[in-house]
Amino acid sequence: MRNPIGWAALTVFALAFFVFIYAPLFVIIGYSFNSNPVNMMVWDHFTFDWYRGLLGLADRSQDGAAQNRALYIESTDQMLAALRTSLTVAAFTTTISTVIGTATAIALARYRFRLKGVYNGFLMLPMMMPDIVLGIGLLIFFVTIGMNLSMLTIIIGHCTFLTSYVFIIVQARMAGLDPALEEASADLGASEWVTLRKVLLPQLAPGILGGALLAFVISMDDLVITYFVAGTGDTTLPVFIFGMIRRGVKPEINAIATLIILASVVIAATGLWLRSRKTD
Amino acid sequence: MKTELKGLSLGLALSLTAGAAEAEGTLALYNWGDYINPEILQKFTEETGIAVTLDTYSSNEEMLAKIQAGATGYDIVFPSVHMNDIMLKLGLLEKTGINEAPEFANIDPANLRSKEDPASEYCLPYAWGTVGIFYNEDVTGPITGWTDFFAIPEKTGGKITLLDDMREVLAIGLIMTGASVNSADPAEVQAATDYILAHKSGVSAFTYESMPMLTSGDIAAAHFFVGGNVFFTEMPNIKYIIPAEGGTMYQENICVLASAPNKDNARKFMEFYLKPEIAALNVAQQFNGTANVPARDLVPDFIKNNPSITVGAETLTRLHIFEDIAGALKFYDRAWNTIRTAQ
Repeated sequence: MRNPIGWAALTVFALAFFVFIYAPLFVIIGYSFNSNPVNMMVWDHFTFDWYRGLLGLADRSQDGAAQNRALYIESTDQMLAALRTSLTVAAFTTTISTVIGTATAIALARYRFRLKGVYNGFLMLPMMMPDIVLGIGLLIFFVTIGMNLSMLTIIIGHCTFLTSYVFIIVQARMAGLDPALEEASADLGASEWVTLRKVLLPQLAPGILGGALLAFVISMDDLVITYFVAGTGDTTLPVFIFGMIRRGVKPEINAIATLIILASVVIAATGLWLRSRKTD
Repeated sequence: MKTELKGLSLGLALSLTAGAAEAEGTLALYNWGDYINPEILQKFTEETGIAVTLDTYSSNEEMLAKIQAGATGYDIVFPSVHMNDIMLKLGLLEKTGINEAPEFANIDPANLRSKEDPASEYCLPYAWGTVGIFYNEDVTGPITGWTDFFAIPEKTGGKITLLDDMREVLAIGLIMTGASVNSADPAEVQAATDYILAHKSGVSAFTYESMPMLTSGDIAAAHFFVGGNVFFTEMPNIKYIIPAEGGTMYQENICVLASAPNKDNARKFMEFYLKPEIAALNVAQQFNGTANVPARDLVPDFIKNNPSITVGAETLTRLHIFEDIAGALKFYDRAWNTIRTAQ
């Protein structure tokens, strides 16, 4: 018999939990439609202006409202450039760190070699190291070897620790796999390469996908390391937003955040749909 | 080294360093977030054909950390005056001879504040402003300075906030106890700390986010930069004053880095910024002061006619500017921790 009071308490707790997690997102979505240009916390009236501006549809020069907005600091182009940088960096780092992280996880789980335990430990290190230490360390390293800071250094910097994240997730999946399946595949005459493609990777796929998504999100999000290793003209979105602290965050940020949330939902939904289709 | 790496990563590097081909025509600015009118950059590019990149930082220390660690590629930085001095001592800045430019005569000598560079051989004054009190007159009635400000919570029940900035907050205590805002005397800093602690119970928060709260009526008064006036051009009940007891001011300079790859273009940018109409364009959007004397007549009326934004010589004597406090920073830090953590 379930205890009705306990059940009710649990329901309330669960609801409160979801409100706590999702309320800030809804606030952002709500305010992204607020027309007040300088003070986004004060509701003016409903507008699509910020979205139009982001998509390059707003006619800034002739718009009457824009004239009133002489006070408002126009830097949409800078923000879009920052978003572009962030997405480019995240795309490259996700690909690179997923490939390396997955390969490492397979190697450490399936093969025996000297110093295996040491490798395992070293792979955890970049994850545990504070960002600021890693950031400064990378910067000094790049300067020492004479490499100019650019978007490439951001990508290398991100890969150093994102590889660890992917490794850990894929490794967890790997630990749950039965090696007998691969042995069976080999017994039936499949080459190592075929075994990898037809037996191992399909089983690892959810872990690899999870690791890749996590890497993408962390890369999009990283502030401290990026700050140190970014070259000129390579400001990412988090660095850009952080730089606005003194002037207050601007309404376009709400719009851009809403679009990013929307994109995440679409990606997640597509992933779920693809998976459900496969099992049919 | 760089070409090798480029070769290795082919398309990647190509797409990433796009623009490097026109290396002769670029200029890399490294500035505080939202601290320059984008129109200025646009006009500069139109006039000179030099493509400008703009990256941002949020504090002097952050910028210094990156430059000092050896990050290169940036041409121009915008340090506060005391940071300008520190960077000069560290040999991070390049001599530009900007004081020999014909239009340098536009610059008010009062704005040449760097101790290490008194004649402006290296850097050019960029912008300056004050830090004072914003208050909602409907709630607080007229106020004149810090004493009135700290009395607001008890008298009216309204909330007040201070900036989340060690030097700015301690400066209030130092001013009110009669010391210099750059005091290196532990006893004076202790007295300042005690002053702030004695008034802390009424302070709702240490924050930079006070302007939205003031608009929405959540707080009655706030310690903030003059630039906050940008929010209140249509709210006559929100007033800005420079405290009668004294306030602080800040100034940033345009400096060229010793490691700058495009020193000639950097110099061109400095000359461009000496033009009154360009300096005025920045004031109109940033709401702060300019060192460019002819530009002061070109700024919008709201700014020109407000004696708290466009301060007179008499008010200027009440304003103190931060200097590098070097070793004293240690007990400032300690005092700030005490203030932030005291119950």
